[in-house]
Amino acid sequence: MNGRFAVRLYGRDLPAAGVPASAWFVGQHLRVAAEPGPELDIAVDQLRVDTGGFDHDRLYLGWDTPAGRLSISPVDAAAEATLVGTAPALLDAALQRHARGTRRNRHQWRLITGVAAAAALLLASLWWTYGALVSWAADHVPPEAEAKLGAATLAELKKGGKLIEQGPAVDALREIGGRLTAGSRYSYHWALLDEPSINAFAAPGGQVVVHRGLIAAARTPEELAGVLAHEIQHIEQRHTLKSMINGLGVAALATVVLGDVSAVAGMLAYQIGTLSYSRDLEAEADRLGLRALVRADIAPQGMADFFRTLEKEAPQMPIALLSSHPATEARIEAIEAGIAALPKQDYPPLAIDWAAVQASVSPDRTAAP
Amino acid sequence: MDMDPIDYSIHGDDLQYVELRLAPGRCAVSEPGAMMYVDDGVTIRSEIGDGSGRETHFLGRLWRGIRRSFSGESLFTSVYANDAAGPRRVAFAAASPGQIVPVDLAAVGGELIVQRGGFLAGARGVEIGVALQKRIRVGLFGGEGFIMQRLTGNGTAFIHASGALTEMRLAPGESLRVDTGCLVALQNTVHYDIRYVGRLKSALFGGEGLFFAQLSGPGTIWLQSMPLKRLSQTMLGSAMAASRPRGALGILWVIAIAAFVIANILLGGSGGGE
Repeated sequence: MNGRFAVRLYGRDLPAAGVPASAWFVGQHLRVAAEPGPELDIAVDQLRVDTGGFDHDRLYLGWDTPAGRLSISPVDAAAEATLVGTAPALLDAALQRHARGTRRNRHQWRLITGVAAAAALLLASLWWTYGALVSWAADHVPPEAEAKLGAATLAELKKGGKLIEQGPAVDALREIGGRLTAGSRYSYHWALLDEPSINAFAAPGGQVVVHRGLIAAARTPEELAGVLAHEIQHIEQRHTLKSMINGLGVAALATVVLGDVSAVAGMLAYQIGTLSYSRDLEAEADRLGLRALVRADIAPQGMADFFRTLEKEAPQMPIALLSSHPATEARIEAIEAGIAALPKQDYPPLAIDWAAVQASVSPDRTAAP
Repeated sequence: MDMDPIDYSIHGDDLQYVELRLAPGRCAVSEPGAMMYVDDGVTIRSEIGDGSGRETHFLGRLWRGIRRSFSGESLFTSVYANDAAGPRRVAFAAASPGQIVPVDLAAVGGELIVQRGGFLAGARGVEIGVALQKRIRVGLFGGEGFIMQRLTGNGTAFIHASGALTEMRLAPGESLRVDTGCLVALQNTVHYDIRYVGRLKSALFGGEGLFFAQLSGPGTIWLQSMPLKRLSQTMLGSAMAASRPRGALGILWVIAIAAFVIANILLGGSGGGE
């Protein structure tokens, strides 16, 4: 029947599960008809509206009788909607309070779920944009701080007593490097390290150090130029800083920016020879290095040749350069593809007496007085 | 849903077990490990899910099982089916000192909310689900956590709790304050809230914690006299006390022994030197 809603009637002397009943409003009165038993008639101003139930979403209308309080509760959402829709205006405020109370629970849970989801999303986006964040942080290190860090790293290396800063080999480095770094914002410093292993590395701010073994292994000055072009890109693109941020964390970066570089430089001096860059950074250094070689009018084939030579002819030598710069077949192929893509042109050979340079770094020379 | 009327008897005073007599073809379900003894002719199966037989699809049953395992029950249910020609018995024992109470789910409106792990056994057709506490403060301070069990169906369920178990009817509007943790089960019509103890002094020294559970009718509630937490605290306390000397006399006794030993060593050492 229209305006009737199914309820359960609860009372002290009724079954615990309640009695199924039907209820409806007549003017300012509520009528309740339980299946067995008399029809009840209650004035609306006697009714109490309560929210109850385990889930805190049940609507109760209760009233007091001489035999204790009785209450009704709609059996389902449809019945509750009918009750709310047909109730006299007197109950409106109380019914709205009930609706607000049940909504508040849902809102609280939504809020908690929302906050948790937002936190998860933030973490995920941090994870995704980590590379970009590292680049951003590296770009905000002032060049002076970089230069200080590089100088301090070099000073640490100097303490080892193996740094060679003059001679024909250093002159060759300066000659080739100067052409490759023309117009750079960094002022470069070239040095040789008296180590037989084949390695070269770059410290931030323009410090390039080449091991004696690398000069001995390179067959032409163009091969050395290829390695230098690669190392220079690590400096120009601030790869060392990015790797530092990755490896040492933001705390190291903070000390650099704040000016206390000695501790970080000490750490860097020991690590720098073996500091490994990510595959992406290596590929970038190769690619940009080739471009720099072309700009400097030096044959780019030297870069590929050098890695080929290392791979083929010196497999048993301690090649530190390969362990820190993995020279996989795929990488050499990528370099060769990059060279093939360049416009064909003739490059003048480097005017360096390579035999004299190699002789100046041979162990015989250092063994002689 | 088919409902299995169940003939049962509960034995024991404080350490109880319930014996069910199954008519031929009838089934009972229980938590794995609750069985105490069973007659020949009753086959025992482990089923994923609640054994209600409602979900026939494996994934559906698995999902029910996972939900159940959140409510402190096992992923599996043991189903005891009487395949014999005559009536057979199966008995389930409670895991802690306390009482077993049968609840006819039909009499409480087809649904009962029980504390985690409170379900012991039941007629086949009783479903065990999760009742999430929707009010955050009740979940945090109500003593039952955010997850309780929701038993639905029309059969008889046996619930178990430690200590004496008492059933109480609350009329509409009638309310009772209960120590958090003493609540075992409640009808879903009962309003479950928390209430601050009232005075700081009571909160700190009343020994009941900061909050009471406030239960308001209409509906039936079941309370336990000795929550397992309280029992284990008491037992742990006496276990600790029993393992060390007690009182001032005990300490004096330890000092006396220590003095005797030290004196002996010193005197013995000087005696050896002479």
